[in-house]
Amino acid sequence: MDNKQFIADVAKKANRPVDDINNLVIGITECFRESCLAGNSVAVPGFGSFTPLKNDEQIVTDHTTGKKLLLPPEITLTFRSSSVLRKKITPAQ
Amino acid sequence: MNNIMPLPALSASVATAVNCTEQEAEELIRIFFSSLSETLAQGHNVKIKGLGSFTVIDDDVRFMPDTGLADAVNLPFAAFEAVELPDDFDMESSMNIVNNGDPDTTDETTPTSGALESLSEAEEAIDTQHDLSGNQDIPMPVAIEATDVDTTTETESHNAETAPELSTDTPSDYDNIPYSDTTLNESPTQESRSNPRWFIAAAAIACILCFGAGYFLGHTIGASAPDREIAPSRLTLSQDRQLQATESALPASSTESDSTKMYESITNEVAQQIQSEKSTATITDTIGRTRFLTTMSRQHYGRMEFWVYIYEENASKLGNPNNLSAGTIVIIPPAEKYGIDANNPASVAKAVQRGKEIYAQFN
Repeated sequence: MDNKQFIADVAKKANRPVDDINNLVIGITECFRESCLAGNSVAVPGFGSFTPLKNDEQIVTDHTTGKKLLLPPEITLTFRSSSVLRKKITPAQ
Repeated sequence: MNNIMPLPALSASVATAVNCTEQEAEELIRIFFSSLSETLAQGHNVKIKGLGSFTVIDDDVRFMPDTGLADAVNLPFAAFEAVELPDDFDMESSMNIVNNGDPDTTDETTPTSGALESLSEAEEAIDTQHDLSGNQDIPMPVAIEATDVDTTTETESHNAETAPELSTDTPSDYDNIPYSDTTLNESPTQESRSNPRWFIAAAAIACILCFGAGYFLGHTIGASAPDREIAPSRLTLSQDRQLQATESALPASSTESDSTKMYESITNEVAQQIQSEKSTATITDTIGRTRFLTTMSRQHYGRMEFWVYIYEENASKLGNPNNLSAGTIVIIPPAEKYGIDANNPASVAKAVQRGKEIYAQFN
Protein backbone atom coordinates (compact mmCIF):
# COMPACT_ATOMS: atom_id res chain seq x y z
CA MET A 1 0.00 0.00 0.00
CA ASP A 2 1.50 3.30 -0.99
CA ASN A 3 1.56 6.52 0.98
CA LYS A 4 -1.37 8.21 -0.73
CA GLN A 5 -3.67 5.27 -0.28
CA PHE A 6 -2.78 4.80 3.36
CA ILE A 7 -3.18 8.49 4.23
CA ALA A 8 -6.58 8.51 2.57
CA ASP A 9 -7.59 5.46 4.55
CA VAL A 10 -6.54 7.05 7.84
CA ALA A 11 -8.26 10.31 6.97
CA LYS A 12 -11.46 8.45 6.30
CA LYS A 13 -11.32 6.60 9.62
CA ALA A 14 -10.44 9.73 11.58
CA ASN A 15 -12.98 11.83 9.72
CA ARG A 16 -10.33 14.40 9.06
CA PRO A 17 -8.99 16.05 5.94
CA VAL A 18 -5.98 14.51 4.26
CA ASP A 19 -3.86 17.57 5.05
CA ASP A 20 -4.32 16.97 8.76
CA ILE A 21 -3.12 13.43 8.42
CA ASN A 22 -0.10 14.59 6.41
CA ASN A 23 0.65 17.10 9.15
CA LEU A 24 0.23 14.27 11.61
CA VAL A 25 2.90 12.25 9.83
CA ILE A 26 5.19 15.28 9.77
CA GLY A 27 4.65 15.79 13.49
CA ILE A 28 5.35 12.15 14.24
CA THR A 29 8.49 12.23 12.12
CA GLU A 30 9.71 15.39 13.78
CA CYS A 31 9.06 13.88 17.18
CA PHE A 32 11.03 10.79 16.23
CA ARG A 33 13.90 12.92 15.03
CA GLU A 34 14.09 15.02 18.19
CA SER A 35 13.72 12.04 20.43
CA CYS A 36 16.40 10.03 18.66
CA LEU A 37 18.85 12.92 18.70
CA ALA A 38 18.35 13.06 22.45
CA GLY A 39 18.97 9.33 22.66
CA ASN A 40 15.42 8.52 23.68
CA SER A 41 13.03 5.94 22.33
CA VAL A 42 9.44 6.43 21.25
CA ALA A 43 6.96 3.79 22.34
CA VAL A 44 3.58 3.45 20.68
CA PRO A 45 1.31 1.24 22.76
CA GLY A 46 0.05 -1.76 20.87
CA PHE A 47 2.36 -1.15 17.93
CA GLY A 48 6.01 -1.06 18.93
CA SER A 49 8.92 1.11 19.86
CA PHE A 50 11.31 3.13 17.78
CA THR A 51 14.81 3.21 19.22
CA PRO A 52 18.01 4.85 18.03
CA LEU A 53 20.89 2.41 17.90
CA LYS A 54 24.49 3.34 17.46
CA ASN A 55 26.74 1.11 15.38
CA ASP A 56 30.44 1.56 16.11
CA GLU A 57 33.00 2.08 13.40
CA GLN A 58 34.40 -1.07 11.91
CA ILE A 59 36.79 -2.32 9.31
CA VAL A 60 35.54 -4.54 6.55
CA THR A 61 37.59 -6.26 3.88
CA ASP A 62 36.50 -7.01 0.37
CA HIS A 63 37.84 -10.45 -0.50
CA THR A 64 37.60 -9.87 -4.21
CA THR A 65 39.77 -6.76 -4.19
CA GLY A 66 41.54 -7.17 -0.87
CA LYS A 67 40.80 -3.56 0.02
CA LYS A 68 40.08 -2.56 3.57
CA LEU A 69 37.39 0.00 4.30
CA LEU A 70 36.91 1.90 7.55
CA LEU A 71 33.18 2.42 8.00
CA PRO A 72 32.30 5.35 10.29
CA PRO A 73 29.94 5.01 13.24
CA GLU A 74 26.31 5.69 12.58
CA ILE A 75 23.02 5.97 14.39
CA THR A 76 20.12 4.06 12.92
CA LEU A 77 16.48 4.13 13.85
CA THR A 78 15.37 0.62 14.70
CA PHE A 79 11.90 -0.66 15.27
CA ARG A 80 10.75 -3.43 17.54
CA SER A 81 7.18 -4.61 17.11
CA SER A 82 5.04 -5.27 20.12
CA SER A 83 3.49 -8.61 20.97
CA VAL A 84 0.05 -7.20 20.17
CA LEU A 85 1.12 -6.38 16.65
CA ARG A 86 2.81 -9.74 16.18
CA LYS A 87 -0.30 -11.53 17.31
CA LYS A 88 -2.31 -9.62 14.74
CA ILE A 89 0.11 -10.51 11.98
CA THR A 90 0.60 -14.17 12.74
CA PRO A 91 -2.91 -15.46 11.97
CA ALA A 92 -2.84 -13.68 8.62
CA GLN A 93 0.28 -15.54 7.45
CA MET B 1 18.66 10.16 27.65
CA ASN B 2 17.87 6.47 27.11
CA ASN B 3 14.32 7.22 28.14
CA ILE B 4 11.09 6.16 26.54
CA MET B 5 8.86 8.90 25.24
CA PRO B 6 5.34 7.96 26.28
CA LEU B 7 2.24 8.49 24.21
CA PRO B 8 1.13 11.68 25.98
CA ALA B 9 4.48 13.30 25.22
CA LEU B 10 4.18 12.22 21.62
CA SER B 11 0.66 13.61 21.51
CA ALA B 12 1.84 16.93 22.86
CA SER B 13 4.41 17.20 20.11
CA VAL B 14 1.95 16.22 17.41
CA ALA B 15 -0.79 18.55 18.68
CA THR B 16 1.37 21.50 17.78
CA ALA B 17 1.90 20.23 14.25
CA VAL B 18 -1.73 19.35 13.64
CA ASN B 19 -3.07 22.42 15.46
CA CYS B 20 -5.41 20.54 17.73
CA THR B 21 -5.68 19.62 21.38
CA GLU B 22 -3.51 16.94 22.93
CA GLN B 23 -6.46 14.63 23.35
CA GLU B 24 -7.39 14.94 19.71
CA ALA B 25 -3.76 14.40 18.74
CA GLU B 26 -3.61 11.29 20.89
CA GLU B 27 -6.76 9.97 19.26
CA LEU B 28 -5.32 10.66 15.82
CA ILE B 29 -2.13 8.82 16.70
CA ARG B 30 -4.12 5.83 17.91
CA ILE B 31 -6.14 5.73 14.70
CA PHE B 32 -3.02 6.15 12.62
CA PHE B 33 -1.14 3.25 14.12
CA SER B 34 -4.28 1.16 14.43
CA SER B 35 -4.82 1.49 10.68
CA LEU B 36 -1.21 0.68 10.13
CA SER B 37 -1.51 -2.46 12.26
CA GLU B 38 -4.62 -3.61 10.43
CA THR B 39 -3.01 -3.05 7.05
CA LEU B 40 0.06 -5.00 8.08
CA ALA B 41 -2.10 -7.74 9.56
CA GLN B 42 -3.75 -8.13 6.14
CA GLY B 43 -0.33 -8.91 4.71
CA HIS B 44 0.20 -5.56 2.97
CA ASN B 45 3.41 -3.61 3.23
CA VAL B 46 3.02 0.08 3.92
CA LYS B 47 5.19 2.93 2.79
CA ILE B 48 4.69 6.27 4.51
CA LYS B 49 6.37 9.24 2.98
CA GLY B 50 8.65 10.99 5.43
CA LEU B 51 8.48 8.19 7.99
CA GLY B 52 9.51 4.99 6.27
CA SER B 53 8.30 1.64 5.08
CA PHE B 54 6.89 -1.20 7.12
CA THR B 55 7.32 -4.69 5.71
CA VAL B 56 5.93 -7.94 7.02
CA ILE B 57 8.63 -10.60 7.09
CA ASP B 58 8.41 -13.93 8.93
CA ASP B 59 5.57 -12.97 11.26
CA ASP B 60 7.33 -9.78 12.20
CA VAL B 61 7.41 -6.23 10.98
CA ARG B 62 10.59 -4.71 9.61
CA PHE B 63 10.93 -0.96 9.50
CA MET B 64 13.14 0.94 7.09
CA PRO B 65 13.23 4.67 7.86
CA ASP B 66 12.88 7.16 5.10
CA THR B 67 16.08 8.71 3.79
CA GLY B 68 15.38 12.09 5.31
CA LEU B 69 14.55 10.65 8.70
CA ALA B 70 17.57 8.35 8.64
CA ASP B 71 19.87 11.25 7.80
CA ALA B 72 18.31 13.37 10.52
CA VAL B 73 18.80 10.65 13.12
CA ASN B 74 22.41 10.13 11.98
CA LEU B 75 23.15 13.86 12.07
CA PRO B 76 26.00 13.59 14.62
CA PHE B 77 27.94 11.33 12.24
CA ALA B 78 26.73 12.76 8.96
CA ALA B 79 30.09 14.36 8.21
CA PHE B 80 31.92 11.03 8.19
CA GLU B 81 32.16 8.61 5.34
CA ALA B 82 33.85 5.34 4.57
CA VAL B 83 37.60 5.57 4.11
CA GLU B 84 39.75 3.14 2.18
CA LEU B 85 42.68 1.97 4.26
CA PRO B 86 46.15 1.37 2.83
CA ASP B 87 47.31 -2.19 2.31
CA ASP B 88 49.99 -1.89 4.97
CA PHE B 89 47.57 -0.67 7.59
CA ASP B 90 48.28 -2.47 10.85
CA MET B 91 44.97 -3.22 12.47
CA GLU B 92 46.47 -4.96 15.48
CA SER B 93 48.49 -1.97 16.62
CA SER B 94 45.57 0.39 16.11
CA MET B 95 43.31 -1.88 18.08
CA ASN B 96 45.80 -1.92 20.97
CA ILE B 97 45.68 1.84 21.10
CA VAL B 98 41.96 2.53 21.04
CA ASN B 99 39.08 0.95 22.81
CA ASN B 100 37.79 -2.09 21.02
CA GLY B 101 34.06 -1.78 21.45
CA ASP B 102 34.15 -2.37 25.17
CA PRO B 103 30.58 -1.97 26.38
CA ASP B 104 31.81 0.04 29.34
CA THR B 105 33.11 2.78 27.13
CA THR B 106 30.28 2.85 24.63
CA ASP B 107 28.77 6.21 23.91
CA GLU B 108 25.84 6.62 26.24
CA THR B 109 23.97 9.17 24.19
CA THR B 110 22.17 6.36 22.45
CA PRO B 111 21.14 3.06 23.94
CA THR B 112 22.91 -0.11 22.91
CA SER B 113 21.31 -3.43 22.21
CA GLY B 114 21.26 -4.15 25.95
CA ALA B 115 19.15 -1.11 26.56
CA LEU B 116 16.94 -2.16 23.69
CA GLU B 117 16.10 -5.34 25.57
CA SER B 118 15.20 -3.50 28.75
CA LEU B 119 13.01 -1.10 26.82
CA SER B 120 11.24 -3.94 25.06
CA GLU B 121 10.47 -5.61 28.39
CA ALA B 122 8.80 -2.46 29.67
CA GLU B 123 6.90 -2.10 26.46
CA GLU B 124 5.69 -5.69 26.62
CA ALA B 125 4.25 -4.99 30.04
CA ILE B 126 2.39 -2.01 28.62
CA ASP B 127 1.06 -3.93 25.62
CA THR B 128 -0.46 -6.70 27.66
CA GLN B 129 -2.78 -4.22 29.30
CA HIS B 130 -4.28 -2.56 26.30
CA ASP B 131 -4.45 -2.20 22.55
CA LEU B 132 -5.04 0.67 20.22
CA SER B 133 -8.79 0.12 20.06
CA GLY B 134 -8.99 2.14 23.26
CA ASN B 135 -11.15 -0.38 25.10
CA GLN B 136 -9.01 -0.13 28.19
CA ASP B 137 -7.38 2.70 29.97
CA ILE B 138 -3.79 3.14 29.07
CA PRO B 139 -1.54 3.54 32.07
CA MET B 140 1.07 6.24 32.04
CA PRO B 141 4.31 4.58 31.00
CA VAL B 142 7.15 5.05 33.38
CA ALA B 143 10.39 6.45 32.09
CA ILE B 144 12.97 3.77 32.19
CA GLU B 145 16.70 4.33 32.31
CA ALA B 146 18.98 1.78 30.78
CA THR B 147 20.83 -0.11 33.48
CA ASP B 148 23.96 -0.78 31.51
CA VAL B 149 24.97 2.82 30.94
CA ASP B 150 28.32 3.75 32.34
CA THR B 151 27.97 7.15 33.98
CA THR B 152 31.69 7.57 34.27
CA THR B 153 31.93 7.97 30.53
CA GLU B 154 29.46 10.80 30.32
CA THR B 155 32.15 13.31 29.50
CA GLU B 156 33.56 10.99 26.88
CA SER B 157 30.30 10.99 24.99
CA HIS B 158 30.84 14.50 23.67
CA ASN B 159 34.34 13.66 22.60
CA ALA B 160 33.07 10.53 20.90
CA GLU B 161 30.76 12.58 18.71
CA THR B 162 33.39 15.07 17.59
CA ALA B 163 36.44 12.84 17.50
CA PRO B 164 35.43 9.34 16.52
CA GLU B 165 37.55 6.42 17.53
CA LEU B 166 39.84 4.67 15.14
CA SER B 167 39.07 1.33 13.64
CA THR B 168 37.54 -1.39 15.70
CA ASP B 169 36.52 -4.68 14.32
CA THR B 170 33.01 -4.93 15.64
CA PRO B 171 30.49 -7.31 14.04
CA SER B 172 28.47 -6.07 11.14
CA ASP B 173 26.06 -7.34 8.60
CA TYR B 174 26.95 -5.73 5.30
CA ASP B 175 25.69 -8.08 2.62
CA ASN B 176 27.32 -6.34 -0.33
CA ILE B 177 30.87 -6.55 0.89
CA PRO B 178 32.00 -10.13 1.56
CA TYR B 179 34.40 -10.42 4.41
CA SER B 180 35.64 -13.25 6.49
CA ASP B 181 35.03 -12.48 10.10
CA THR B 182 31.51 -11.18 10.20
CA THR B 183 30.53 -13.03 13.30
CA LEU B 184 33.18 -12.00 15.67
CA ASN B 185 31.41 -13.47 18.57
CA GLU B 186 34.47 -13.66 20.61
CA SER B 187 35.30 -10.64 22.63
CA PRO B 188 38.82 -9.29 22.37
CA THR B 189 39.69 -10.74 25.77
CA GLN B 190 38.57 -14.20 24.68
CA GLU B 191 40.63 -14.06 21.53
CA SER B 192 43.65 -12.78 23.42
CA ARG B 193 43.25 -15.66 25.87
CA SER B 194 43.27 -18.22 23.07
CA ASN B 195 46.67 -17.04 21.76
CA PRO B 196 48.57 -17.80 25.00
CA ARG B 197 46.85 -21.18 25.17
CA TRP B 198 47.97 -22.00 21.68
CA PHE B 199 51.47 -20.83 22.45
CA ILE B 200 51.64 -22.86 25.67
CA ALA B 201 50.45 -25.99 23.87
CA ALA B 202 53.03 -25.53 21.13
CA ALA B 203 55.78 -24.95 23.67
CA ALA B 204 54.79 -28.10 25.58
CA ILE B 205 54.87 -30.20 22.42
CA ALA B 206 58.28 -28.80 21.48
CA CYS B 207 59.66 -29.59 24.94
CA ILE B 208 58.37 -33.16 24.78
CA LEU B 209 59.94 -33.67 21.36
CA CYS B 210 63.28 -32.26 22.51
CA PHE B 211 63.26 -34.40 25.62
CA GLY B 212 62.43 -37.50 23.64
CA ALA B 213 65.14 -36.84 21.09
CA GLY B 214 67.66 -36.11 23.78
CA TYR B 215 66.75 -39.22 25.71
CA PHE B 216 66.92 -41.38 22.61
CA LEU B 217 70.23 -39.87 21.61
CA GLY B 218 71.78 -40.20 25.04
CA HIS B 219 70.51 -43.72 25.52
CA THR B 220 71.77 -44.85 22.16
CA ILE B 221 75.19 -43.29 22.57
CA GLY B 222 75.56 -44.64 26.06
CA ALA B 223 74.68 -48.15 24.99
CA SER B 224 77.03 -48.15 22.05
CA ALA B 225 80.06 -46.58 23.66
CA PRO B 226 81.64 -49.28 25.67
CA ASP B 227 85.08 -47.68 25.28
CA ARG B 228 84.09 -44.55 27.06
CA GLU B 229 86.91 -43.37 29.12
CA ILE B 230 86.43 -43.30 32.83
CA ALA B 231 88.86 -41.93 35.28
CA PRO B 232 90.59 -44.95 36.71
CA SER B 233 90.44 -43.55 40.20
CA ARG B 234 86.68 -43.81 40.14
CA LEU B 235 86.51 -47.42 39.19
CA THR B 236 86.20 -50.07 41.76
CA LEU B 237 87.87 -53.38 41.30
CA SER B 238 84.72 -55.08 40.03
CA GLN B 239 84.02 -52.27 37.56
CA ASP B 240 87.53 -52.43 36.28
CA ARG B 241 87.20 -56.14 35.66
CA GLN B 242 83.89 -55.60 33.87
CA LEU B 243 85.47 -52.97 31.70
CA GLN B 244 88.32 -55.24 30.81
CA ALA B 245 85.86 -58.03 29.98
CA THR B 246 83.86 -55.72 27.75
CA GLU B 247 86.92 -54.49 25.96
CA SER B 248 88.03 -57.99 25.32
CA ALA B 249 84.66 -58.91 23.89
CA LEU B 250 84.91 -56.19 21.30
CA PRO B 251 86.19 -57.09 17.87
CA ALA B 252 89.75 -56.36 17.23
CA SER B 253 88.94 -53.62 14.75
CA SER B 254 86.92 -51.59 17.26
CA THR B 255 88.63 -48.24 17.48
CA GLU B 256 87.81 -44.71 18.41
CA SER B 257 86.96 -43.87 14.80
CA ASP B 258 84.28 -46.56 14.77
CA SER B 259 82.56 -45.06 17.79
CA THR B 260 82.76 -41.66 16.20
CA LYS B 261 81.20 -43.00 13.04
CA MET B 262 78.51 -44.73 15.06
CA TYR B 263 77.80 -41.50 16.87
CA GLU B 264 77.56 -39.65 13.61
CA SER B 265 75.27 -42.26 12.14
CA ILE B 266 73.01 -42.07 15.14
CA THR B 267 72.83 -38.29 15.01
CA ASN B 268 72.14 -38.45 11.32
CA GLU B 269 69.34 -40.91 11.91
CA VAL B 270 67.82 -38.69 14.55
CA ALA B 271 68.17 -35.63 12.37
CA GLN B 272 66.51 -37.42 9.47
CA GLN B 273 63.72 -38.56 11.74
CA ILE B 274 63.12 -35.03 12.95
CA GLN B 275 63.22 -33.72 9.41
CA SER B 276 60.68 -36.28 8.27
CA GLU B 277 58.45 -35.35 11.16
CA LYS B 278 58.67 -31.72 10.16
CA SER B 279 57.82 -32.47 6.57
CA THR B 280 54.76 -34.50 7.52
CA ALA B 281 53.70 -32.11 10.29
CA THR B 282 50.40 -30.38 9.66
CA ILE B 283 50.59 -26.62 9.29
CA THR B 284 47.71 -24.81 10.91
CA ASP B 285 46.65 -21.23 11.27
CA THR B 286 43.98 -19.38 13.14
CA ILE B 287 41.38 -17.00 11.75
CA GLY B 288 41.46 -13.74 13.62
CA ARG B 289 40.29 -10.16 13.44
CA THR B 290 43.27 -9.28 11.29
CA ARG B 291 43.94 -12.66 9.76
CA PHE B 292 41.65 -13.85 7.00
CA LEU B 293 41.94 -16.68 4.55
CA THR B 294 43.41 -14.27 2.03
CA THR B 295 46.02 -13.18 4.54
CA MET B 296 47.06 -16.77 5.15
CA SER B 297 47.09 -17.50 1.43
CA ARG B 298 49.33 -14.54 0.75
CA GLN B 299 51.74 -15.66 3.46
CA HIS B 300 51.89 -19.37 2.68
CA TYR B 301 51.41 -19.40 -1.08
CA GLY B 302 52.45 -15.96 -2.21
CA ARG B 303 49.06 -14.83 -3.54
CA MET B 304 45.72 -14.25 -1.87
CA GLU B 305 43.76 -15.95 -4.65
CA PHE B 306 44.70 -19.36 -3.30
CA TRP B 307 42.50 -18.87 -0.24
CA VAL B 308 40.04 -21.18 -1.95
CA TYR B 309 42.25 -24.18 -1.29
CA ILE B 310 42.54 -23.36 2.38
CA TYR B 311 38.77 -23.13 2.41
CA GLU B 312 38.37 -26.47 0.59
CA GLU B 313 40.72 -28.15 3.03
CA ASN B 314 38.56 -26.96 5.91
CA ALA B 315 35.17 -26.68 4.24
CA SER B 316 33.47 -28.99 6.71
CA LYS B 317 34.00 -26.62 9.61
CA LEU B 318 33.96 -23.26 7.82
CA GLY B 319 30.68 -23.23 5.98
CA ASN B 320 29.90 -19.91 4.38
CA PRO B 321 33.21 -18.15 3.57
CA ASN B 322 31.51 -14.82 4.25
CA ASN B 323 30.61 -15.92 7.75
CA LEU B 324 33.78 -17.16 9.41
CA SER B 325 34.33 -17.06 13.12
CA ALA B 326 37.46 -15.65 14.70
CA GLY B 327 39.47 -18.29 16.54
CA THR B 328 38.75 -21.02 14.02
CA ILE B 329 41.86 -23.12 13.43
CA VAL B 330 42.31 -24.10 9.81
CA ILE B 331 44.73 -26.51 8.17
CA ILE B 332 47.05 -25.07 5.55
CA PRO B 333 47.38 -27.72 2.86
CA PRO B 334 50.71 -28.24 1.10
CA ALA B 335 51.00 -26.43 -2.18
CA GLU B 336 51.60 -29.66 -4.07
CA LYS B 337 48.23 -31.05 -3.08
CA TYR B 338 46.26 -28.53 -5.13
CA GLY B 339 48.91 -27.60 -7.65
CA ILE B 340 49.39 -24.15 -6.17
CA ASP B 341 51.96 -22.08 -7.98
CA ALA B 342 52.02 -18.33 -7.54
CA ASN B 343 54.18 -17.91 -10.62
CA ASN B 344 51.79 -19.83 -12.86
CA PRO B 345 48.98 -17.67 -14.31
CA ALA B 346 46.91 -20.77 -15.05
CA SER B 347 47.06 -21.82 -11.42
CA VAL B 348 45.98 -18.35 -10.31
CA ALA B 349 43.13 -18.27 -12.82
CA LYS B 350 41.96 -21.65 -11.66
CA ALA B 351 41.89 -20.46 -8.08
CA VAL B 352 39.90 -17.35 -9.04
CA GLN B 353 37.35 -19.47 -10.88
CA ARG B 354 37.08 -21.80 -7.93
CA GLY B 355 36.47 -18.83 -5.67
CA LYS B 356 33.54 -17.73 -7.82
CA GLU B 357 32.09 -21.22 -7.64
CA ILE B 358 32.35 -21.26 -3.88
CA TYR B 359 30.63 -17.89 -3.52
CA ALA B 360 27.91 -19.01 -5.91
CA GLN B 361 27.03 -21.84 -3.57
CA PHE B 362 26.13 -19.41 -0.82
CA ASN B 363 24.59 -16.56 -2.80
